[in-house]
Amino acid sequence: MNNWKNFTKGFIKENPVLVMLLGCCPTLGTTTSAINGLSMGLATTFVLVCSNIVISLIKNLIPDKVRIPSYIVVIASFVTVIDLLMQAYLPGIYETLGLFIPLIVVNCIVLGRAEAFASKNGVWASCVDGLGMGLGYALALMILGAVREILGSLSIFGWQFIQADGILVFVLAPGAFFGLAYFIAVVRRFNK
Amino acid sequence: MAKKQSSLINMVLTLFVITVVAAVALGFVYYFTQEPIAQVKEKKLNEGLMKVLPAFDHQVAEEVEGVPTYKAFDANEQLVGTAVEVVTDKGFGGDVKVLVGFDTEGKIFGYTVLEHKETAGLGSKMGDWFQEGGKGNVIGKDLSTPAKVKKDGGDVDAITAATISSRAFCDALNKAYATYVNTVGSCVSTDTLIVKDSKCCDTLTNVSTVCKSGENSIEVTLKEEGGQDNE
Amino acid sequence: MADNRLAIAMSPHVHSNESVKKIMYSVVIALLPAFCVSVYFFGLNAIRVTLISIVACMAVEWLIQKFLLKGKTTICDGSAIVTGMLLAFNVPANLDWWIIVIGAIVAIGIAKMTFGGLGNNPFNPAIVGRVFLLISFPSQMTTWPTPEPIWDIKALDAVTGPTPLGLLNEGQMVDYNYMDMFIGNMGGSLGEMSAIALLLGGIFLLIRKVITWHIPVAVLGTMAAFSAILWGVDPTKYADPLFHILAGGALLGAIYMATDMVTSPMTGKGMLVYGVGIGIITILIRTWGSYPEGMSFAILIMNALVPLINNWCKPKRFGEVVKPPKEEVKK
Repeated sequence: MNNWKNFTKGFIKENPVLVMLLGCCPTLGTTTSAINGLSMGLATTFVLVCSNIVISLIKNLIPDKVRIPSYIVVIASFVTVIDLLMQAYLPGIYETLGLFIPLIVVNCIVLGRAEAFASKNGVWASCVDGLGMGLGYALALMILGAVREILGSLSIFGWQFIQADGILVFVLAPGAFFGLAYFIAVVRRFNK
Repeated sequence: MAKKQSSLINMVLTLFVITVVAAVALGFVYYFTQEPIAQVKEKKLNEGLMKVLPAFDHQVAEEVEGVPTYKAFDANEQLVGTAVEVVTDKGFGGDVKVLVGFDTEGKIFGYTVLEHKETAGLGSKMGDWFQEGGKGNVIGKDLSTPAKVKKDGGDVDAITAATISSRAFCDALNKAYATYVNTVGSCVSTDTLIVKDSKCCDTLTNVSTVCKSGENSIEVTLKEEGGQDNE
Repeated sequence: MADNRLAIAMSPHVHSNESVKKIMYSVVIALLPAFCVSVYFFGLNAIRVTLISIVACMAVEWLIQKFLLKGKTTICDGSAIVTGMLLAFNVPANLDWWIIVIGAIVAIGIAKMTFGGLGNNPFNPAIVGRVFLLISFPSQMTTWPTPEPIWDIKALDAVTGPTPLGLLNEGQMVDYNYMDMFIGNMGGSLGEMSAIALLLGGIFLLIRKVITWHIPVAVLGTMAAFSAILWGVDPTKYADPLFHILAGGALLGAIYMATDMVTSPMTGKGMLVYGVGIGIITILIRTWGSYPEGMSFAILIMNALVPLINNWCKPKRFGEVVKPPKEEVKK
């Protein structure tokens, strides 16, 4: 029951982007298409789950005063791991996301969950929390990416349904702000 | 287990252990991904070269005055084309990086835009616009007269409503051609050795530049150290 | 923001028979001369674009008010008509109908109704719509039909040509006939070309006291002064002040768009600061920017600064002592 709650809260009730407004930089930067948003979300999920597990395991070994640098080292290691793995095995996606992968280190969600959840809870709960939060983040990014892709390039998951140029603003940065703003507004409307 | 005290020794030790563990773990991952990453890079380069050069067997990378150039040879060590990777800063939104391929006569065989920040929907069309079948086709062009858009008195059709991007593209072509001429020139400028039979190349170990000149001869430039003398 | 029921305006509050409706219809009347000139040069296309734009703006406003907000509809106050007309005046006369509709949805839906409707929008809706279209459909938005008088049969096969500012941006100095530019015989958006018609409308608005002289004079004066300095430095490289004022959307922007009551400062001093800002940014973009025309961007940027300007140039309270006691100043 409790674990289920931990898992589902990341999707709507405490969604990192849409409710807590954390991690907006990659949200705005990488959601030019559904597939980009989804891969960024999954990369973040990987880091989030791994760092939550490790941090909840070692939380008692770390003196309070150096906990932030320790967490950052742990997070940065996992980010570098996924960075290298993507370079090696997903070169196409790495090319578009390249710049934003190292930035996961400073993504507020990861450090936020480490500090707010993993450092106070057990391994299993932290793992579930990271997974829920990460997938909620990935879902939000994918939907935003899909909306921008449909409007901006008239395609979805790379499939072009009309052979024409879309409304280019939605591929550019201003479109990300428009999309995110209305997305948040809609979620708020139904979250009440 | 009780929380550790924040004493100096504890803090130093914890951070030390964490960083060491992280470093070792990363070392492992790096070791295992090193090769796939190198392969990916090489594949990408080869795909780019394949687009801009005639069919080739292998290529030799070389830097000419800081500009990366690639010479492509067929199975018989005959030069089939040269590709030059140029950057121009004349773009509308910033630098434009283009890989231009020349055939043996110095005509453009193909090009591909590697990087650009041009306006989406306008300048960004340069990837297709100047290809064969595009409105501003430049394939097969001889650049001994520099490429220029029509508005500047040249014969290249500029992208509609994106004259500046088109100018940048022409600038990239001209820069690439200058480098291309340079690579051909550098072959003859230093000490050269005429090798009668092209198969001889296989035995030469420290060849720095190979290029075709004349009908059956290949000019080979040796590095300063010389290495073993050739028969 | 929930209790935003009180109108904030400069005191004294004198009642007059001015209403939103009257002001808006005055603006419509003032835009008519320029509209007539564009009909003369672009023929039916000008009427088509303007009608589509007005109808679309009114329809979007009505639909949002009726079905999304479920409140009373106020489309008859004329503000949607003005937005629609200004939007049409800012696009090429050969624009496809669906692009105009998208522009109307953005102008009314995003720039106006999202913020709470007329009076609450920080940015000028017509300009937001125009900039949105410019970025989204760059090639359609920068393909200008050449003006041809309607009886000229050539007008039928839509010839396209460059705008004076477009040429300038590409580094070409052109000798334009200033008389042609004054009348409006040059490439450009539907309603921005004819200086004389726009000035006529501006004078009408001044007489009707719909606008004050501050913003137009500050914008145009700054543009003239700034471009005169550049021109003085190197006349072969920079265009002269008269060119800058006649070309592009300078007059349309300065007289009709920057003066929008909702999105401009309240006091005369504030308006001057605002106008000078628009003038400087416009010339900066025109001279060194990548876009040929900077008027819309300049107005949007200064729109964003209006709350700051209002705060800085606070109107004197009615009945306030000219020199307040020193303690208050220090605070």
